[in-house]
Amino acid sequence: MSVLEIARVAIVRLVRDRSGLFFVFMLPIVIILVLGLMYGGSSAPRLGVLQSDDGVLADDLLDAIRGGSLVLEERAYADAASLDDAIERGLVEIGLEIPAGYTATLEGGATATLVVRGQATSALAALRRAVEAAVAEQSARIRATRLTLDHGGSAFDATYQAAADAQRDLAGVAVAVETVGEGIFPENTGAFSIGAQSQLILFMFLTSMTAATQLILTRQLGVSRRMLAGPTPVRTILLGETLGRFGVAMVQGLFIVTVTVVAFGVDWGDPLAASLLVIMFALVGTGAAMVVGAVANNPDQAGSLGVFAGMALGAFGGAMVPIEIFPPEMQTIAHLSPHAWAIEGFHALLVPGTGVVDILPQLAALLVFAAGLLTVGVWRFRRALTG
Amino acid sequence: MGAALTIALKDLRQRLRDRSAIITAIAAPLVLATMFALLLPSNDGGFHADLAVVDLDGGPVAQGLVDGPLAGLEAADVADLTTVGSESEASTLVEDGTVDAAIVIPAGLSAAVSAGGGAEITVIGSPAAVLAAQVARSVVEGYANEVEAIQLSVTTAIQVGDVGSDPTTVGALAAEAIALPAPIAVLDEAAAAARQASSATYYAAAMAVLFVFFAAQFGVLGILGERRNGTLGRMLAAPIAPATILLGKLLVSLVMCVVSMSVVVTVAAIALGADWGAPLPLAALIVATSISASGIALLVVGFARTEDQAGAITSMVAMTLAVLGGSFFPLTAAPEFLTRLSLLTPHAWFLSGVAELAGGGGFAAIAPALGVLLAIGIVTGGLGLLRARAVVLAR
Repeated sequence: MSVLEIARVAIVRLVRDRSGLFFVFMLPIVIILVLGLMYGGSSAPRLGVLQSDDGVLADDLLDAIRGGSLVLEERAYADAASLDDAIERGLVEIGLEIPAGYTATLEGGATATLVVRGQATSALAALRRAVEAAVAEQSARIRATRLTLDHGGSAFDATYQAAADAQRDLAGVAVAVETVGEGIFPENTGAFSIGAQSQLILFMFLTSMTAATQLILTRQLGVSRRMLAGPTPVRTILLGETLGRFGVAMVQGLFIVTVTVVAFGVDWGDPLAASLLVIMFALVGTGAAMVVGAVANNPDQAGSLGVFAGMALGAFGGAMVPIEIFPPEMQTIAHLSPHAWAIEGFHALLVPGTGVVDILPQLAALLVFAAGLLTVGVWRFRRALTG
Repeated sequence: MGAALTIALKDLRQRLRDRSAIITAIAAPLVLATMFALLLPSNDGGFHADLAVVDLDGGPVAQGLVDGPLAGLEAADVADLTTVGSESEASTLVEDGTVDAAIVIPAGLSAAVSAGGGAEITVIGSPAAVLAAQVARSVVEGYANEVEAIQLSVTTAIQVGDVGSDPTTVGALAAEAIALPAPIAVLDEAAAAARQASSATYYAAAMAVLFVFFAAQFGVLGILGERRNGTLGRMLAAPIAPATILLGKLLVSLVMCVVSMSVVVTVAAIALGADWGAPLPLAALIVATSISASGIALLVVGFARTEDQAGAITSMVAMTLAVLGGSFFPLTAAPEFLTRLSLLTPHAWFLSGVAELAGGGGFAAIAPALGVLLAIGIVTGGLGLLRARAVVLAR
């Protein structure tokens, strides 16, 4: 009974600390929200358009770009200065200027000039192809119109429309698309999933690190000594404090999982496998908290060092930037952190149909981390208690 | 003034001995900036694709594609081309990630095109390299449209115009269509200057501005500490005016902030290859940011009861502003409403100032950023001073 009582105190202290609540419950959800809003939607390159001509051919060109293979997110700009500003600040990767009189020039039989601009990068050279493909499509229609107008065609508009219809029905050269292989993440991955997984891991560990300061205070304020003086055996105190850290990590983990499922529709994959990952990682956090709580003596220093170590390990283990985009050698080294294993496990669960069996290596690695940290933590804590 | 300096120097000596101040103000931002610089592939506007080309046709139309637009991709350093013998081989290369996409030109393409028939070029892509496949498709589609242009011209003229479809007329029309000049020219304007920080610079700046808000609390928070220890009352009895005490504490915050940012900026320039542009405007930007961070910290102190509470609120405010202000994720990729929201944070202004300077700008380019940062500092600091004076007088 006293084991549970000691554990309960840890969770009560977590919930009573109002500023702590912000870091434990609110901040992770806010970051998941921002991450999802920023990277969850289309990550298409951006095309800035300055349309100074409101004729049909300008609209038709833009439609051709929109219908092209290269998917671009379009942003409209009212003048050259604001388009330039967006290009220079990297808000759009490529800018297209459709000059005034574009439609009139083409209807009049002369050559119209489009301006493409951007920073001198190879990305610009690649994205330029989207504009070129659309220009080739429209040029073909205009050539056909001009030739026809020379041979009895009547109005430009009607002939252009006929050319567009003919282009659609033409037997010509088609482009077929085949897809092979797999992406980094499965295609149906929700906008918030990757962020939710990484922030869950990042913050469960951070909270464990701050929970370690509670442990130092418990020792320093003499709470443990008073418990020892009573009839409570050392074993009970150790078990209670360990269970308390574990409870704190689990409360936060379950909160993040539940909120992301309800509010953001995140699919965590197979429930059993996901639960095991959360539990294993909570144990790793518990172990780390016990080690820090037993070894450190200055709660302030342990607090700032702990948060800092938690952030550094998180960044290193792929909880800030997906590990998949690390350079290859860093991906290997990253697996020295428990974070990398846990996140790898969650990523594997994104593929429909994967279950516990598929993440056994990750679970085993986390178990090793947890067992190692818990052994050291409990041993040192016992020594700190009994002197 | 002498008393304010004495207070400030005493506090600074204490902070120097306190490892948590050094960890928060210097070690943490530096280590995190280094990690980001190491972990993130430096992708500053670069795009490169490896493409496999399978030419089963061997005719002039296929040659036109390979020698024209595809060679153009290679010349623009957008793609490297590998010639492969069969479609299945190309497919395997795409699947195992050796190449990003493959273009398969079918046998008989040239013959089909010259006979006015249809043919199908296949682009094999992978979800792992979506953009590469899209670029390949765009290039092929553009070329297909060019190839079809003559055929389309002749067809339209026969359908809509007043010409017959006998072989002689068709031949004459085709010749006429070929002779028509290209109706649309695409002009590349001289490359725009970048006013953007490289990723090493961005992350160093982001971490510097994130942690400067934690560094700011080390001075002004001392007011609450002095009150708890009873030393505040003794200082007032000395007698030192409340304003002098506040000034001393504020000086500590400012010095901590400036030192923190300067060290991060200097080390990042030497070790991480960060490019900060002109040093004097950068120094002004650092001072303005330090003023806004100190002002916000002072405002928090004015409303907090204990040091712990003030520390917690500062952390909350700092983290919230950092998330919204682009300290964790560059806001260039963000939807517009997030970019607008970020303008409420000092972080966004500091980062945009850094971008301007990295792009070669001077004082004129960062004037708005400097103005906003100073305004934030003066408004929050002013309110904070009023509140904090009450705190000091209340003891």
